[in-house]
Amino acid sequence: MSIWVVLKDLLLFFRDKKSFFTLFFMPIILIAILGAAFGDNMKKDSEIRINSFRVGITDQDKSATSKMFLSTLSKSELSDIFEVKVTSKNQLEKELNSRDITMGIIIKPNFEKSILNHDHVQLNILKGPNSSLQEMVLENVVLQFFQNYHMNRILMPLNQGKEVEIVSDQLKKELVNERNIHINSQPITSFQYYAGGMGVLFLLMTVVFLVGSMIEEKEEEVYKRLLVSKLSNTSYIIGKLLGIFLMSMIQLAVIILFTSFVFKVNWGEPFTVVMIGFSFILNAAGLGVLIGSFINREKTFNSVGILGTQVLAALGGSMVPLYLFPQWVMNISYFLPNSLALQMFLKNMAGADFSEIQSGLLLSCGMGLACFIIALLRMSFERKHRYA
Amino acid sequence: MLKVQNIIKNYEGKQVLKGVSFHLKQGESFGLLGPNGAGKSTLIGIMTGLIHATSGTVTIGGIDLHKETKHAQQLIGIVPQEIALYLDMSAKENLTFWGKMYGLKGEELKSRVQEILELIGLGNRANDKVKVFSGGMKRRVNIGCAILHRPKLLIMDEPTVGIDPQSRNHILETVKTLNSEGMTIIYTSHYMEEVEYLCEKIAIMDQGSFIKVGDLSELAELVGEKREIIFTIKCEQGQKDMERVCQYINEYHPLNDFMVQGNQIKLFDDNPQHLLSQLIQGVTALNVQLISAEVVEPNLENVFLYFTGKKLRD
Repeated sequence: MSIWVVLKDLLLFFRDKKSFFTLFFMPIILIAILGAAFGDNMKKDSEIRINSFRVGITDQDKSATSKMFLSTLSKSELSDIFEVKVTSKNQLEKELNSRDITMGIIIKPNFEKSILNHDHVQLNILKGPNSSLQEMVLENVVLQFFQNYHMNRILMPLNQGKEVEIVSDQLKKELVNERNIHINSQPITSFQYYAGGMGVLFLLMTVVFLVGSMIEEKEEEVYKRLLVSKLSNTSYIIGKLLGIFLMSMIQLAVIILFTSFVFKVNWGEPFTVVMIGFSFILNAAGLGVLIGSFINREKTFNSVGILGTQVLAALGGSMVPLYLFPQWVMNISYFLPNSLALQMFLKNMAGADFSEIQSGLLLSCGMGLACFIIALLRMSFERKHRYA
Repeated sequence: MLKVQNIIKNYEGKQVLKGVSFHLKQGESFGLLGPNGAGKSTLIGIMTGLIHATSGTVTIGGIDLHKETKHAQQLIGIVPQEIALYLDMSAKENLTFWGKMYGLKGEELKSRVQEILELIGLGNRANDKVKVFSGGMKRRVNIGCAILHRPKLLIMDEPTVGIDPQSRNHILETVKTLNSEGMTIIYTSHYMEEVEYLCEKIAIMDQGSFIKVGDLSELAELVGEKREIIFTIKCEQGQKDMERVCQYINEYHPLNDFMVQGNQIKLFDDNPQHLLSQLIQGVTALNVQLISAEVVEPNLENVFLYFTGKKLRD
């Protein structure tokens, strides 16, 4: 009997022109606008190349530590990116002006003493025009030297005066932001990003809309009439949830097909896309039903829904990429249904294996099911309480 | 057909129903009257299985509603006070959907939908969306959806509110026909004449219990020889005139309970002509202008007023 509830809901949904337009055309229009506005920016970001550059160094301290510093720079793991040239201060400035060298370092006379006394280190870094990326590389190498230097000073007496090789993960982390990249990784284009972001946002809106209409129906006389008919409460809930799934999957299919054919967006492995969509809808619907079980009025739910959707969309990366947020936001967003789904869609677009997405799928489905169970318990409690 | 035994319903620390009992035989028509807040809707909710009673039992066709809710509900058709239809669907689509919800299918469903469309007089508007219908047409579809599955008991909660006389007559005739075919009817309405026309048995309900149950003549007998006197005065000085008249009645006719509604005074007496002449003299002596004075023969409206002290639509 649930199937008739689904068909009735589908019929009513497709007859409601406003909802139909909002949920099917709006995402396509927004994907087109945002994708076109950002052009290929994201693709360019992921293909940044740092050309090799020269660093001029003037050693005014001539101490053992300054020599060690020079030696560290020359033997740095990044020495294939930059070449070190020891020179005088005048020559350094001349070559910086003539752009023969990109960056310059002046080791001040009290360099060693200031390090030993933990004072401000006497070191000047001079940079030429358009050298911010080179500056970041050089700064990292310099910082690595100081950290190693201090650690050695602490550890050498414990190691019979021999220099200790620092392999601390902590130091590594500060210098290199590690991430695993699949061998077939493809850079994500802005169209791909916003197709995923807007797709997830509008799926979330659809789920909120459908859960809202479920609450609305419960406020109306038709619900009472349904309860008096042969339809059981369980069949009613199953029918409603099937409707939410079906309509959301239709919407996802429309977004994917449209963006694939018109904007040539590559969504990745189709099976994985369906699985991500399914897990997300389960997760979002579970959350929606859980919130709905605490709210009895459709208007209140819709207000909460609109606000919640906006917050989730912003925190979940639908508006701007997640990596622009502080770490704590990224940590929270990992547990948001839309963020989880968007990250999975992006991984799939970048060519990740199913196994890399599996854990996200399980987490998403698990969260959705947990929400459903709590919501059903809550509704059952409320029903007993109301009619006792 | 229906046995309601000692139904009590407590809600938020208040006793909404105080031990209501009655029973109906197959084919009986039962009018349920009561002012707003009397407990009619709660009683209907309990009889349809939508609300659980705190105590008491409801048996429909020998089936305990509480123990076998879905089974018992199959014997009920409910016409709610509000329109319980999908407005974006046509009359035919609504009837088909509700037919499916009551377990009808295939040819049986098709032919039944067609039958009902003819019965409610909307055969030529079957494919029009319900939202474009008049209030009366919507109410007819509302009834149609309740009788698709041929229920043994039809519960109608004010089914004619706010509709045109033509649709109202159509609905009353439909209900009369269904009743004559053996369907048991429970009918609540604010329109006394509808209940008088349709129902052989009437219950007057107030503050959670049945005050009186019987047919119209039995109820009228309970009123006895008493007749209602309605007095309409012109309140030229606002409420002051009314207050003076009330004071006069309290002073000179202390045995007569009376009610004030707007600029009307209503009271019951077993010698109405005598009282009327006394009142006319008294009111005239007060220099209050009398618009009209009449003695009304017993009908459901004044029987209800006599027992509850309230107008039905209060």
